[in-house]
Amino acid sequence: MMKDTVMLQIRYALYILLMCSGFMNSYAQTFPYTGAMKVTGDFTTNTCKVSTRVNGANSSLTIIIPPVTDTDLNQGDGFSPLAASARTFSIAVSECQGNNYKVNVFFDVSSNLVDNRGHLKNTTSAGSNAVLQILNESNNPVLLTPVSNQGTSSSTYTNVQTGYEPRTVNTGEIAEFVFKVRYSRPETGNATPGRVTAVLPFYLNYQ
Amino acid sequence: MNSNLANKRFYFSLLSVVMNLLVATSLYAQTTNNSASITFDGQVNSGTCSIQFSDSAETGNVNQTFNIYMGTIPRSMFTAANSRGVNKYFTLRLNNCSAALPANTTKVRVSITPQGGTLTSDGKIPNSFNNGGGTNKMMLEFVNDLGNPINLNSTDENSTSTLPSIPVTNGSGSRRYNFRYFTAEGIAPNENKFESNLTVTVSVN
Repeated sequence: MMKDTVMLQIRYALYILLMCSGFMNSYAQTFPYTGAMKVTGDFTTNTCKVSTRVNGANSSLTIIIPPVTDTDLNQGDGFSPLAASARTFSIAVSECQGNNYKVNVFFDVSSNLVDNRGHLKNTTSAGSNAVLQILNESNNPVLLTPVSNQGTSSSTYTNVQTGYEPRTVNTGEIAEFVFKVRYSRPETGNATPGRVTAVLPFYLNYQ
Repeated sequence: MNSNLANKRFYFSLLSVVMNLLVATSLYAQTTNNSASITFDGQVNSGTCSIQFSDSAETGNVNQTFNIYMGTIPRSMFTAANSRGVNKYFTLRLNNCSAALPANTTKVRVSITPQGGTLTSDGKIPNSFNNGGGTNKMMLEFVNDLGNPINLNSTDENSTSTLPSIPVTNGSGSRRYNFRYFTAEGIAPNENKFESNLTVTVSVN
């Protein structure tokens, strides 16, 4: 009987000690810690194909925007209505030869192409003084404003973000970055009639 | 009789556990009475000390290998000398480590070294994947908060070229570490893969 009792208490004691030992280790760790990190990547001779699309079909780089009247533009919020006169277009990435391409689109404008509000200026001389606003698929304006350079006090119009996160494109897949463009009144005064043309440089970054 | 025996066993066991934990005395110590007082001595800590890596896609413990895949990138991005890729990042996070750190620790140092290799003289990480006699021109370059290159060889805490410490408050803290591809000469002709196994050390000083 005495032997049984002793054995029992040994079992209890060992059990509790083991539990405590585990608990102690869980917080009483020592520094320095060492951990492992593995970085891998692939380089390929292939690039993906970039195309512009309107209404889902490949289109030339020139996008025709439906006309608007100066009367309509000069009332309300000063923008042409999204439903009636905005043009939806997309920058599509396709024909990647391989998998795991991670791509994103950036606008790459310059000060002579945009106004202070981040809208595209009209490049047609003697045309309308209206400007063009770019929006993303969620109808959020993409402001073409200077981006500060890391580590410096300067800023440039390159690397203007579009509001899209990078997208992974694999073989046979297409990633479309969808945008809209519409007219806007100029910064001051009313819009005048005339032709409106503008240029929007962009580039594709592989990440 | 059975009840008394059970009580004895119960008290006996509890007492034995406490004595073993606190004074490491013999397992065979016995009480001579049916009652005794038991003293408990414990402490509630703030939680389990952990160090974790994380990025937008993955999380992992520092004791495991944390994998970061840089993706598939056209070689044409790196044909020019001094080409750099887009910043990637990971975050190192300390949680509830006050018990494991000296009192009033305000920061911990972080160092990163290649396993089985060496850093370049300017503190970058060479490509350890040697493809067909490739010349390992592609490297990883860590970048400070100002966007400037970090020299991983540097240990001067006051230099912006040194990999920054993780600020710690009450045993917890985190910092994001940015890095990117860099090639001084342009990518090697046969280089089609990047691979580097790194050791990350987190130390008090």
